[in-house]
Amino acid sequence: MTPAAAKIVALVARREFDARVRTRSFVIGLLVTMLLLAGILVGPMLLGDDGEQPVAFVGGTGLAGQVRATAGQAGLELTTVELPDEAAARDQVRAGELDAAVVATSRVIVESSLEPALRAVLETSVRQQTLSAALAEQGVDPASVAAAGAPLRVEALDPPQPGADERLGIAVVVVILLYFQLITFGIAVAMGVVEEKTSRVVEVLLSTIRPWQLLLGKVLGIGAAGLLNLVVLGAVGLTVGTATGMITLTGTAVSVFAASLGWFLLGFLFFAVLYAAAGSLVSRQEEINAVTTPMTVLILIPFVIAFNSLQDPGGGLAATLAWVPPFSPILMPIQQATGNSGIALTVLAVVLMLAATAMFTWIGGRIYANAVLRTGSRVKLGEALRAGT
Amino acid sequence: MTTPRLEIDRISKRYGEVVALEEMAFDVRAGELFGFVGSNGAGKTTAMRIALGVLAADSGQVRWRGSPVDFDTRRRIGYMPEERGLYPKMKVGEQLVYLARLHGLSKAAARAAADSWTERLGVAARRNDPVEKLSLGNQQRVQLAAALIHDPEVLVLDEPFSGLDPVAVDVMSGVLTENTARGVPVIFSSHQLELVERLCDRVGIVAAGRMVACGTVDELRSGGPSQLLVHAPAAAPGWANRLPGVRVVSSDDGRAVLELEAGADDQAVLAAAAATGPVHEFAPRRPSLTDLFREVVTG
Repeated sequence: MTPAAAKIVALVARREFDARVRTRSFVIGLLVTMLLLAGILVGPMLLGDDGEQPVAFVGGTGLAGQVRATAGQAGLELTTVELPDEAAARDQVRAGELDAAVVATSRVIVESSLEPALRAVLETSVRQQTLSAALAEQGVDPASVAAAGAPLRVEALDPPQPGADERLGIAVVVVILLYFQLITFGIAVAMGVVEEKTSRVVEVLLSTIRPWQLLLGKVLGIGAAGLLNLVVLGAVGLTVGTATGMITLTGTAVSVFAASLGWFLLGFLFFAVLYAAAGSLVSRQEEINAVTTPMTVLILIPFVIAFNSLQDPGGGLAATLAWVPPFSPILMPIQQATGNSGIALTVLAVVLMLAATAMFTWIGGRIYANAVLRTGSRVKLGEALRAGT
Repeated sequence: MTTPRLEIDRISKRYGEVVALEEMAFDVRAGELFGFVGSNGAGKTTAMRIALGVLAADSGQVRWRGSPVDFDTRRRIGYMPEERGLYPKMKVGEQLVYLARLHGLSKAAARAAADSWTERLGVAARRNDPVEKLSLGNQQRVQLAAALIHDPEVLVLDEPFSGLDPVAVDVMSGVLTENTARGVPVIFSSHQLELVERLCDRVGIVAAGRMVACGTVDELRSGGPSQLLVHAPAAAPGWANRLPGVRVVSSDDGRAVLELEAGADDQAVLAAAAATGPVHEFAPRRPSLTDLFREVVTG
């Protein structure tokens, strides 16, 4: 590209970027999505209590220590408080300040139901304490009995990864984001092309600059707007998620998000030229849906596959198609988030995607250049591919 | 060196079975205002789009200063398409600066050009409004500014006068003649034939993709058989019917338009008219462009 041509492409890209970003709809859309995203992350914390509240013990039974020990063995986090009387305990349970209040060693007060895990801990603790007391009465050291009945050692053949649920959560959020990004900004390209056709600006522009310069500038400009959108959403998501404790695997989250920026760019480059080509075939905004359906379906397929594969993201169709263009931009981030992607697979997916993009850019660019100046009725795809203007 | 010319050399274009242009040929010289007239669908827009390289011809060539018009030449042509040719949601000033910069002007030069043209065309107050907020007439002015923003060497304007009020028509014609005065060949199409007749140095009439008549307005008007207008209020209807070599084209309230065959004696006609009583008017009548157009297009 000559410097003069590069300057033209930059001018076009700048205009396209401004035309998207400086609109009220872009800002409002971004704010709404940010609120939704923050809502997803903050909502559960506000609604649920997840055993975060302490368990109270009334009657000075000394059970609290035993409960903490049992809970610790079971891998539960639990805080305990001692309360002097039952009435205070009832009030605090009702107010949601306590998860449960254990009165003496025989009754538990809860708001609606006792969580099974907590029930098990409490029952075990009570039994243990009774047993210890009985053993002590018989002159046996409870500790030696406890040592003899040590918890079972578990040997897992396929141990779950730590934080598997969280990884899956990150994958889901990234897949949803990428899906909407690709559709939204792909359609924006098609709409931009049709706008230029309807308003005949394209005639003025193409008497001055070449079709590929206009197309490239448009794709780069709208792509930059899309990238900005994704960066802002990702930053908000990561910040809110980390601040609220929803995201604990910060390293994984950040690297999956960073990679999703790259996948967005790859996917966008692939689809944008095709969306532009589709847009160039028609002259009215109403016809955009009809001509862009093939691309929209191609983006929808991996999205659906992604959601059907959440049980087993590392195997099956999702894993197979993760390196097949143009599905990889949506499917690869899941593989990465769930820890199933190796460097080799990622490189393969990127290379295949780039090759496919090069090929379809050539075809799409040809269709665009041949069809974009033909206003009126819809241009037939075959004609656009063949004709020399 | 001869005067630089924009030559349209036998260009043809067909869409499937439909012939849009057939061997269309004419030229526009530097400093000349060329009017392009023809009925709807005659091929004017197609010819202009081909000259601009927005469309490729099947055969034929467009030349400027003797060499075929290529991409670099086209950048020095100012073009105003029919209908609109601006981003509806973009602000007037930004849009003009953008188009100027695409033509290679620096940022500062582009700003200055946008300012001066909006000023000159009376839309300076609307610089910060989106184009779609302007009236059609004002959009047309912005469109003209867009065509002129880079000081083009050639101007090609498709229907620049349609939808303009009389004041805007004056502004538009002023700008066009100003451009021809500095040696720019200007070609425009229009259905307003009186305007074309008044403004243009030369006129081309197109019908069915062919150039059927081309020349100065005078040449075209004097091309047909000669006509006389005679106003003899006292004359009885049919007074001229028997004069040799004379055909009565119209007769209305003592005013007769007569067509004379070659060699017919106009003095004999005057004598016959004078014999009926007073003669208030006796003059050669030349067909207007509208008459010519009708004749050419229907005949």
